[in-house]
Amino acid sequence: MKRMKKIEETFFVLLMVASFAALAVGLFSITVTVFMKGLPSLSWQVLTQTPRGGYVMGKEGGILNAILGSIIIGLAATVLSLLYSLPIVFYINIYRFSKSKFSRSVRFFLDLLWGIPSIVYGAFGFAIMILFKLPASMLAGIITLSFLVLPIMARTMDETLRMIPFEMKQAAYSLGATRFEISTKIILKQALPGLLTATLLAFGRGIGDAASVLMTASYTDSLPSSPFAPVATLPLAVFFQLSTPFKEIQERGYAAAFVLTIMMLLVSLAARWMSKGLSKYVVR
Amino acid sequence: MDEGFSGKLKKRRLLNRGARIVSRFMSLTVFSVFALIFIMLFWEAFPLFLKKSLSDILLSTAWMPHSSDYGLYRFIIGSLYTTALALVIAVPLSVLTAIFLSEYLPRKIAMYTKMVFDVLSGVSPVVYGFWGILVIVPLVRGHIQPFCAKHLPWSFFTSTNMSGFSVLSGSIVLALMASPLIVSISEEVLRAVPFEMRQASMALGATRWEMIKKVLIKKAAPGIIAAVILSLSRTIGETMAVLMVAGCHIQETPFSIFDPGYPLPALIANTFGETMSIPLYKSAIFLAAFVLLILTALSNLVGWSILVRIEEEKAS
Repeated sequence: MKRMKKIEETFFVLLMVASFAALAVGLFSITVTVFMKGLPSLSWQVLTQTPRGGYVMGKEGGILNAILGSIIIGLAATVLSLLYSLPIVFYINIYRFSKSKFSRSVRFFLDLLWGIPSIVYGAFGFAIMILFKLPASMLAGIITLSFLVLPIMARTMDETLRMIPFEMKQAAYSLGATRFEISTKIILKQALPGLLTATLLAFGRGIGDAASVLMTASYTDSLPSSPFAPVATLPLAVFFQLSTPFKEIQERGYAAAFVLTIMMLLVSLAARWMSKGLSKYVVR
Repeated sequence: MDEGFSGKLKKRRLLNRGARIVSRFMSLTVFSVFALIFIMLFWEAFPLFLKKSLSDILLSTAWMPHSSDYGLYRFIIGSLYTTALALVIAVPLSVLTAIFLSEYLPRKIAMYTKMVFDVLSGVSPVVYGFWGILVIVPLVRGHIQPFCAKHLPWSFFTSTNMSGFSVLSGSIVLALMASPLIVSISEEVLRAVPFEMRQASMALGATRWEMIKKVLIKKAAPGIIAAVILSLSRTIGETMAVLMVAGCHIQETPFSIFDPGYPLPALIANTFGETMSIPLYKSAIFLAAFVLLILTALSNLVGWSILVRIEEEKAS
């Protein structure tokens, strides 16, 4: 009886270690694959030139169009969504109590939006394009992407604002500050690391997303020029270039995957560092 | 009181009120964003309902856009199949990992592990697809499929599709994408089980595993289920990775795990470009998106309401 118990426990602990190892190996293997395939395909030419002769046929050139496109679209969508989420999170945490029914339902709807897959946002953007007779363009991509990152940014910011001690607000109220002044002069400073983290996380998600921009921003070989022209993005550069049978182009896809992964890892690490390192001026 | 002060106060009040009105309006629009998405997709999908019955769309396998047959059955099955198989792989792995992290590792190490998982899993879905093409597809084609053909001679494990681009490959990639979320939520839920409960059960002579099996898992079950449901909604909507590795081309409804699968998101991503000229075709694609919206919203609704209830229970 006792021995059976012992055997059972050992068996399950081994199973746990094995599952843990399987996940860890799987996740590391992604990064390792990206580095092993991407580093050899990386060159100055790949980073600084646009593809020549079409992304499916042209064997020369690089992915500059996609790098620039991703950064522009990602930044613009992040800024748009920042302008939208800041008032919302301040309203539900400062003008209303964080735990009020209204705040809770806003939160709930943001969670619901967070769960909508990117391809559905893509279809939504596509429907907007049909409605306004907009062609596949940078603008459509930016609008769609800002909808996609909105819940991520707003909910992450909301979590930091909720953590701010109530006493801090009380102290400011007692000195006669209005809610607006509290928001801009006290909470903004106190929550700055968290707000920046949220912005960076949203930016990272924005540049990594493919399905929504596939449907709205399309793809092009030339550098981003006008908001009404299609624009290339890194995830789609990976996707399209991997699907060709030519080795040279596939290698450009590997390079794109490498650049994309490095960008996303850097953004993600920076976001984490911000939430810790930048908290020097935060009152605790 | 001098004029300057009250003037200033007026200005400050005005600013405060302005900010309140603007931010209140913007918060209210959050409610309408979801409704807007819902209505837009439904509006675009609506023409199809006028022409076809619901069962013609959802339960028919005939997909021939050029002779206006828009049976989504095969794609819905494709979605459910890859998602189910992905969860079959991901759930035991993630739950066991979560138990290991919360019960057998010190809190600090568990936290760092979760963070590393988080960072590593934060890469683009396209990169998961890239990894799937380079690692998982060859693995399935070269090792798993021949192995199954040799030792497991049931039709579930055999297929004429030898490319490796299959339901199984898609599910493995999806499983890896879903796992970090399940691990992260489950670990938190497990850690939230009161320490006294563990003590009580172990004081009665239970071994650590018995305590986990009989107390911890039961107590944490709702949270773990919520985690699984939330990751289900991520998995079912995942597009690019599946599109790249599941071998999406129109064939029979997949039966074997080595058959190519063609889930709904992949259908949308693959075909939206060619739909503009045929109005009903366009509607069918929007219907696919609408179905996805409903599926994910429902699972999110269930998942979040379980988690919210747990939190409220904890607070009270």
